[in-house]
Amino acid sequence: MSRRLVCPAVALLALAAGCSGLKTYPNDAPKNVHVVTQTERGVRAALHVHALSGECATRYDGTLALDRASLDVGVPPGRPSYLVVSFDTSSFMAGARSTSVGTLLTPRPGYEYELAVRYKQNIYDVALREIDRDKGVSRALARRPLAGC
Amino acid sequence: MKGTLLAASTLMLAACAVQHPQNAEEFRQYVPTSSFAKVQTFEANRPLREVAKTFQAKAPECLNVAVRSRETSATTNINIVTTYKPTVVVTEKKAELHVQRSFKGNVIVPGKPPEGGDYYVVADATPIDRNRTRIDIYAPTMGTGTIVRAITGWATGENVGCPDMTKG
Repeated sequence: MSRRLVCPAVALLALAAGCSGLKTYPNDAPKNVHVVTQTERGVRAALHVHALSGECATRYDGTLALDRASLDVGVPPGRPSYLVVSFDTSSFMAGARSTSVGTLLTPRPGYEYELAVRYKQNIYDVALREIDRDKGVSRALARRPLAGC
Repeated sequence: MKGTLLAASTLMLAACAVQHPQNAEEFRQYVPTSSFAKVQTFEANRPLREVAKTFQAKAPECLNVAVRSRETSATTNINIVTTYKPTVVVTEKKAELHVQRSFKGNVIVPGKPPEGGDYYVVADATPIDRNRTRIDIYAPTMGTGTIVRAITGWATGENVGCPDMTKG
């Protein structure tokens, strides 16, 4: 049995991604998103990056495995991107299961972002912060679903 | 094996759903009478307004989701989408979190569920004093461990993560 938890908007993205298959995100833009990952054994986390057009249409840019404690990612500043974090688990009895959560982000030039990704005992948390290094301040960014773009 | 388990659980769901509490109050009255559900009560060391605020923030963020269950084999073709609908009701004296769920696909649910789906979990928060809140969670005994732990974390403020709704 496979189970998939999706928001409607994410479902569309998953379909779009599924048609072309997963590809590695080029990650060649200047690094502005620091991803900190804490997952337990048996959980595979990944970050899927989608670019947005003005009409809220998406273009899948690629995926990075969140298989280490920290990872620096370059998300183009000044234009909206849709970041989706997925958690995949599988077991003999339960089969494959996947949960994903997405948020819109338009990185501001000169700002840095921290994406904290946690999954422990079937509870997950994906938190995004914007950091102004010059002023030494940061603020939490609320999750912005694609449906509201 | 897995198909048998899923079919059995689907039948159980259908059987449970024959009796459809039509609102949260009917669900509260139904749970203590059921062998498959129970009330869990604890105290949170937080004021009611903080618990209410967390419910209002986390319920729509975490519970407004759908889960697809799919299994295909030579003898089985199961494709069910379970949609969850959270509602938070806050007054000066109480905060309530209602979670309903509905099914689409090849599943038969006899009877008439309420609009928005059958009541799945109800959590009530009432003040004990200025700094403590009593939490009562009404839920089935099976398959709700993850969501009950999440609601407990929201109430106590100790873990504000989202439950993986693909896990029981």
